[in-house]
Amino acid sequence: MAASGRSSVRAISLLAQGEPMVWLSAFGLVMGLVMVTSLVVLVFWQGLTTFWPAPVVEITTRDGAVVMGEVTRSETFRPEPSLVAGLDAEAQEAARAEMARRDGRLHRRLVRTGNFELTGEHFRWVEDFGVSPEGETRPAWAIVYERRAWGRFYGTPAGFVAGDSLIATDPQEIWNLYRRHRHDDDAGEFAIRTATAAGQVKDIALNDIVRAYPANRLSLAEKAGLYLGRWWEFLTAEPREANSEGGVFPAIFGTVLMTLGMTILVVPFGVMSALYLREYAKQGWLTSVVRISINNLAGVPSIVFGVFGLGFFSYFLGGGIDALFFADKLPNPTFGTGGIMWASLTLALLTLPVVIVATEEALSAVPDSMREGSFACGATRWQTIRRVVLPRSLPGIMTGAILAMARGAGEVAPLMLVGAVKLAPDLPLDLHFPFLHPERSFMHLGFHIYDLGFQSQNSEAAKPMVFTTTLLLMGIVLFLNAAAIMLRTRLARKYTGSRF
Amino acid sequence: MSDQQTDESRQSYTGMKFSRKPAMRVLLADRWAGRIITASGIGGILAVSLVGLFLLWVALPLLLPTHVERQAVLPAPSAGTSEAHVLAQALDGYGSMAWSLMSDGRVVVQEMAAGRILEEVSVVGQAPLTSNSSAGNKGVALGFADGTVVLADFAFKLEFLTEADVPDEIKALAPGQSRPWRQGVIARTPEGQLRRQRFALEAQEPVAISDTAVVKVDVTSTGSGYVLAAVDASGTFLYRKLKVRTNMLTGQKHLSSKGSSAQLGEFGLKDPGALAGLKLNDTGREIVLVSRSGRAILLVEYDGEMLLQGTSSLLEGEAVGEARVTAVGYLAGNVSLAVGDSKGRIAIWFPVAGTDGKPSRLVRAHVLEPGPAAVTALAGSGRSRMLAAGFADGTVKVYNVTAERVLGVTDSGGGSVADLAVAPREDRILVGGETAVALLALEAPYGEVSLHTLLGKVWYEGYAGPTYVWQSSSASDSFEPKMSLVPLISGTLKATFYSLLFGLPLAILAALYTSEFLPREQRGRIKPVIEIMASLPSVVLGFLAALVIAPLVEQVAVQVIAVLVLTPACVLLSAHLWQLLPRETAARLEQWRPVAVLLSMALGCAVSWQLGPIFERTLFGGDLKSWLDGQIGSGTPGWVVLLLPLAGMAVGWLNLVYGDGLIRGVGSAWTHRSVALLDLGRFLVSALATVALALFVGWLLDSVGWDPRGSVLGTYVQRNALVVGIAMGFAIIPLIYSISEDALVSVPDHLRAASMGAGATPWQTAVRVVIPPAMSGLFSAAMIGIGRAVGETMIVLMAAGNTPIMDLNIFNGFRTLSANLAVELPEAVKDSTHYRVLFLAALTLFAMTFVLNTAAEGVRLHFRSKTKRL
Repeated sequence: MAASGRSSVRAISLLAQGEPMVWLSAFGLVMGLVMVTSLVVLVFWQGLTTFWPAPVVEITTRDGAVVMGEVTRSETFRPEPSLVAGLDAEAQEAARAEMARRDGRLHRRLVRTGNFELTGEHFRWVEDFGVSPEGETRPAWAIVYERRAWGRFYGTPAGFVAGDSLIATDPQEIWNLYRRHRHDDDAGEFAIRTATAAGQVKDIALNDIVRAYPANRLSLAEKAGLYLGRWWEFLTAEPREANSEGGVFPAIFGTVLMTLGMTILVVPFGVMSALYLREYAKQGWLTSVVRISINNLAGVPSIVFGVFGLGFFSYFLGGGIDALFFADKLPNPTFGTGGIMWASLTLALLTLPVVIVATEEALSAVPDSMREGSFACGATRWQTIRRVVLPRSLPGIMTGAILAMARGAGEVAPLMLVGAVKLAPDLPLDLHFPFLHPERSFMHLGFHIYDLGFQSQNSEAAKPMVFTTTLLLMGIVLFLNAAAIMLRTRLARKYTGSRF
Repeated sequence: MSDQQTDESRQSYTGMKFSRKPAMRVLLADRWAGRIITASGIGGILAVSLVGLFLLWVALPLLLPTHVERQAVLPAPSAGTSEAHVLAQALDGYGSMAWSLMSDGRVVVQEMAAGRILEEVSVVGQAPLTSNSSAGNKGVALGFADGTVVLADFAFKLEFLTEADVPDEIKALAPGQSRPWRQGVIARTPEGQLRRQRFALEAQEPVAISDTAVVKVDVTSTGSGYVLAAVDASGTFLYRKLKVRTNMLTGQKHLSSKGSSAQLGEFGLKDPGALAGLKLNDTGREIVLVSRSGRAILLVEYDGEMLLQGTSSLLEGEAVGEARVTAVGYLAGNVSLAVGDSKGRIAIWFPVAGTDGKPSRLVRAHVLEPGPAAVTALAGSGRSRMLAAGFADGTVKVYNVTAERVLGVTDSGGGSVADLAVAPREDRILVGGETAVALLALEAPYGEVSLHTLLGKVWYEGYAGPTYVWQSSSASDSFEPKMSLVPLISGTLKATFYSLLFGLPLAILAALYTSEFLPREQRGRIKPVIEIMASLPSVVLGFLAALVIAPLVEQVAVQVIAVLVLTPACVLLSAHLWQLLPRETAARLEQWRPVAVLLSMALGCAVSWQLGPIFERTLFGGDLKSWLDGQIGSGTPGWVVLLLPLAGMAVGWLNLVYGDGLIRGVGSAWTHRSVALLDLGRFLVSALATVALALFVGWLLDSVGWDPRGSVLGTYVQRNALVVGIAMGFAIIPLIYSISEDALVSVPDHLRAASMGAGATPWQTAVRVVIPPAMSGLFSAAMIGIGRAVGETMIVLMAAGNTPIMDLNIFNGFRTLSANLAVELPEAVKDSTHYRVLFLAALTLFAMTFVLNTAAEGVRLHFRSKTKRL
């Protein structure tokens, strides 16, 4: 130390720099950034590649079984000792060799084999050691069928059947016939006789086929066409196969309609509440208490609003409406259960604090001098608000509204209680009187993700769909947020110095 | 304005006139706008505040006082005929009529409006009635003096009549009214139908089981017939399985019996008269014999033989002969015994399994508030843990056993209580007194809930001891609901703790770096990127956590732990290496520091990845999961992992106190490079010291016999707190970051300028000048982060496994309040106890976050006023 008389300036300055601690705090920031980017990249990558057609492989295993399908993913795993011990000598040797190489682990691939009605399974794990030497090929005419029921089918075409007669047996010919007849009105009369890798034969009727393609013969352009076609189906079609195939159009529709309903409810009330608080109410301890409470409500968990929505809107209000107007349908509830109107109301309540806080902030950013100027010119309070205050705070209010929309679109927990369902038979908006059916339950993208990932029978098959749905939802929410942030930064630049 | 000038400016000395009055429509618009804004503004604010009030309104009935009051005193069924007293009773579902089995063998059916006797049936066979089982859902067994037993079904039969079947005075009944009619009671339902109830007795033929009088009997029906347990006057215990055979021709039913007998003396009971009770459980395989002196004997039937499983003393701690057992009754489900004694005390006992898994002894799980006189009758409700107790002075007390709560006390007004019956809907209690029958009205819809059951340890039926359990529903009717909020609250706190452990330091460090070390223009670009993370829908995070992170972490758990430890260490090491650069170079390269940090992090990850399997082999016996199960290895490596951060902090503190002095003390001849080398050496030594310290303390703790497995570590479950912590990090880091950064940035720049001008480095400025005034802002950021973590639903719902267990194990799942709401509320019946308890849970959540946020807001406002003064 200085008192000792021999301290080194260099040593002191080195310590003062605190370089290791600065690095540690940089570590925090970099970690945060890495987390965001890796998450976004993961979702985008998985979501965008899902629909790209994968090649079909045919694998002959050591025990003579033949598996045909698409490889969905692969992993290394630590085998149970009994697994290796139960193998025949040749496979055991291969497995041991691989385990020695991989630190006691084995590599395996999950093959989507489809053909559920024949094999009773959609997927099969294939261990690398179990593949017989040169047992992996890519058959030129392996065809992937996406069907209306039973999931996918993999096989090679063996014949084209029209009615009872076999017309063609050459794959190319069969393919041409398929392309000619698939849109015919009597497509049900035709079928493709398909041989599976295991040697079974099945006739697949043309009208059962949603999409079929020879996966290993596709050119890049055809693959791209298929890719876009799948996206189109995803965005515009109804779900099939317990939501694990097909599209998510009803969910998109439900999300948009619910969010719109919420916005229509929340923005006027939020803005008016903020106007009242800032422009009309006498500023005092009461208004600051109210202000603090509203601020706090923005932090109340969304599920609590869901509980409130279920108890108050669905059971209390909805039950009341039912008793008054739909008594003949009781005990089956009409309004007394979850519905899109109650969901919109619940989320409106949930996002009301967001709008109030944002609007208030925008209002308070308008300098008082402008209001005073307006009053001095003889304008009434309302004229001042309408012509001076609101135009200037409009971007801020819009930011709040967009943030509320983003929050509302991404919120799932309360919806689980007030009306989001796995599969809604009807859209809440249709051509039947009275066109808008506020009591109907609806599908929602966020709930769709939860349901597919967790309640699905065949969650492995649903996984690609979850990623694309996630991509879609995240895209919507990120777009809304980016819009709000951009608006906010532009605003900040415009009125620097009036920061809250 | 200009319009008005041209329109309204006329005639003045300048030829212009300004109207001082605004136009009518302007005024009107102003007034109406004001009114509308005020109304909807207040409305909006009220709507939001309605949330908390409504939750309270729904949850409040749980805590409302319950009460029992005497509705009517009716003449006793024995009145006028003999001194026969009531043996057993039951009320119908509507509280309109009741039957009473009298000691002289009559069954008297009374209506409950005026006590009029509707019907009398005799069940007496050749011999007088000597014993009976209590009325329940399993039939009634009647024992006679000649050693026979009759099984009978006492029931109320319900039928709906048409208007044509009834006379005019019945037709005139208004909805809701009822009146006795032809041995039954007829009522008009609110829907306008005519509903008639009457008593129906269906008795089987007598079965001879003994030569002497049957003094105690109980029966249960099983899938294949009936099981009967009895004691006769000679002191023989009789156990019979009865099969019902229906004669195909005559339709007559015939009972065939087989079974075994034993002498009471074998169980240490001599006199059959000393027996206070004999109870058979629903399976018909467990029998409890209770003597008046308080001995309880637990018998289990095994292959037709009665085995003595154990004896218990029910009046333990009581001088012999001081108190006697005076009443024994079953609670719903026929497992728990209520035992009342001559001093008015009531305790609940049930068998618990011994080490062999068979029931071995009775334990006293609950002690209820005693009554004023000897207990004379005990009756459980058929559908809940409600117990009604009658006392010798005519008092009736109603309890909920789980909650150990008195639901009400009243004087029945009929003298000593001979028998009690709780109506199926639990709205009335029939009290058969010595001199009169009393009908009590009971209002206790949520009796099973009390503060104690919600927050305290409760001894549930069949459990080895009092615990906290959340298990709200089950398939069985006689299920004891277990509604302790404690496992859910602890799950919530566990989620919050582990997510903050991960998220809080990262977020605050990131905010510090952004505000103090990043150039202004970079700051503007980085902040929105992190804030984007805040907007990610939590369902997306939950899905990724459960289906991507959880399987990944499961596969490479050791590597993940290594990454958590080694990456920061690697960053610190790189920083020390960076110090070796000449100062000019370092200054020039400063803008690349984040990149260097990123590279060192990547290095840390790579090293962890390589070292992971080695750690697993050397520390955890080759397999982390079996190590966590406690199958292999010692506890030391676990302690090392847990203690490393603490040891790191301890060593860091020592460094600050002694190490810095060491470096400051080096001679001025040292070059920058050699000082940096010395610092690097110090870092390496400290790192080694940290590991050594952790190892030593870990070894010490382990040799004391304290294994971390079983508390903070334990069996690996795929969806666990570690995964939730990481995923929740995505949700809370941006929130804490954003608020902390705002707090740091709003520290006025002139403070920084003054500090730098005085020669302080940026780091010194950050720590000593910027952080102290911003401290309260950082604190409020942490509080808001906690608030978010407490209420987060989708992430925990999807990634925490949702088992409501209480432990600290970072590798185990849990269930939070919020996830519980999402899982159970859609299934809860409206206005049921379960529904209201869930609302209470929501209210708890609301209150927790509201308090946290209010505190944070208060701190923030305080902070703002403080920084304004700076």
